[in-house]
Amino acid sequence: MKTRTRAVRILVAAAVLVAAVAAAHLGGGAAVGTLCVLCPVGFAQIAVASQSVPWHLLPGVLAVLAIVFLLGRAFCSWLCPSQLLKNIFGGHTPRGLYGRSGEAPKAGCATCASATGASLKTQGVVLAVLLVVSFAVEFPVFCLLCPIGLVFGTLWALNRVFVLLQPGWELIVFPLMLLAELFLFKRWCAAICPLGFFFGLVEKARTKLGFGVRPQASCNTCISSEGCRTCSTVCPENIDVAAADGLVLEACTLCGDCLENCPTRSISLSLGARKPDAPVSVPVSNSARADEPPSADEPASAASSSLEECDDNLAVR
Amino acid sequence: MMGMETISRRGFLAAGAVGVAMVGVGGFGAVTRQADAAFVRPPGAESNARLTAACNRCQRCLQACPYGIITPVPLAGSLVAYGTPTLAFEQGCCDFCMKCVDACPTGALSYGGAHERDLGVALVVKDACVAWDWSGCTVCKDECPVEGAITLDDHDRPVVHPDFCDGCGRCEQVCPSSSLRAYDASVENKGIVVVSRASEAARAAGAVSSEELLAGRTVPVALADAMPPHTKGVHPDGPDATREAGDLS
Repeated sequence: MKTRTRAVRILVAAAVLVAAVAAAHLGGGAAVGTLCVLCPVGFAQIAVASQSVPWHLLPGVLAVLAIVFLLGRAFCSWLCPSQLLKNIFGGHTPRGLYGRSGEAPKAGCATCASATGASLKTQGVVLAVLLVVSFAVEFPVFCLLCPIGLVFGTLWALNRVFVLLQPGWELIVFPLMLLAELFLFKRWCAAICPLGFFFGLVEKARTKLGFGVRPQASCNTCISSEGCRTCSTVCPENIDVAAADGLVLEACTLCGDCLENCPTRSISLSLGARKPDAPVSVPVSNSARADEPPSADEPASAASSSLEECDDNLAVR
Repeated sequence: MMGMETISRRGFLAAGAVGVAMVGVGGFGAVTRQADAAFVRPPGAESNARLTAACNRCQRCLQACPYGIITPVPLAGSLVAYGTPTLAFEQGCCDFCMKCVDACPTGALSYGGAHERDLGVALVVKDACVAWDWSGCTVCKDECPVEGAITLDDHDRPVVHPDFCDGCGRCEQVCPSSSLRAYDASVENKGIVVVSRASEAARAAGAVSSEELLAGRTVPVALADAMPPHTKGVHPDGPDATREAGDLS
């Protein structure tokens, strides 16, 4: 498996952390704060804990949700500090949001399509519990557990040690908590992360509208009919990109591993939902597929096999 | 379709465990009342509880402070208030430039209210203050920017007047007792320190001992018992410098 994209992802996420620490040292006018300023969960927590809406946070939060609407969950694989740790320490097969199994799903895996629905439910439950608790005790409780916050907390603790020469318990407690959350709670991102709940909702709307870019395999050159399962084995979310439609691609974090590893370079990022579903990205009935005329100008063998592949996928739903 | 969206056992367990952890942390905070712990807060913090509730720990006030005196509460200080801003006067003092209030995106620090220009009150520590052993040191009185906040008594020892003191921290910053007594810069050896007006220590009349300070520095008192903000005294630095303290119109 080629890992150049992963190296780029690590660099990008690390650069964000370095920039945050550098900005903290510049002081003066550069009061940029941390990623916490943009957090939708933080916004909701503070609103219920202080029983007043922090309006000044709203533009940043809406901007983040708008970016998710445009780019999908690219934040999860490219910027999230906890995913950075998974990328660095996760070995050859870093876990994705949905708990990578490390092997290709069976053709048209039915459970993949429902993964986002189930995780939205558990994430929603976590969000509801944390809002109720925050309201009751009047402080934002999740901030003390959030892996993104813990990464920043560890950075500040290191900063204190080396700049102010003040070691603190944070240096021991926070890395241990991170370790537990990301490597013992392997389904943290999928089942717990309340930020993922907001992202998941936006992603659902995005899929419904067939908006934005997604990785899509070209039926002309894809060799999945010959048994190739490369894209689904390299995908941290176990998405069979060759067969995926908009619904399955809700789990996609645009990490780019499938683009890099596809042996025939058939996968590209393109606008809208998968071609056969393009007009309506909601599940298509078999009758809709029957209306589609077979493309005559393609070589007969390639056309039949690739169409067959596409047919399989449509039938799955 | 709905059948396929049932929550997996592992997902359910994970969410349940985190839910229990959150209830535990919240319960711990509620039982220990750590949110009320009386830290010296940046200007514009209405109360400790309000700041803990409204602050999202984004650290923007820290970065905005031109004197670098804002520092996050360490985990050892408080679990609930971890990461919220507090003031440390070793390196500088506050001149109420209000850049932290301008930077705050949540309204945890905000204009208006009795505490906009009231950080706390200075306390003389009698076993650390040099003037209590040998007369002659008047550094805090000389440096105090607020006329009348620190005066000398019959023995030339400093006395703080809480109705004038705004807790700017200049006295704590310049107090030379640690260097006069020993070459130990730990803050316990400062002869005068700023504490929150909501703290147990602030209620002590006159000077306190090191033990009293240590025991009551961040221990909160009931809201009704807290020392009221200063009503007299003018801080000559910062914008609106000519404004009388207590005049918050």
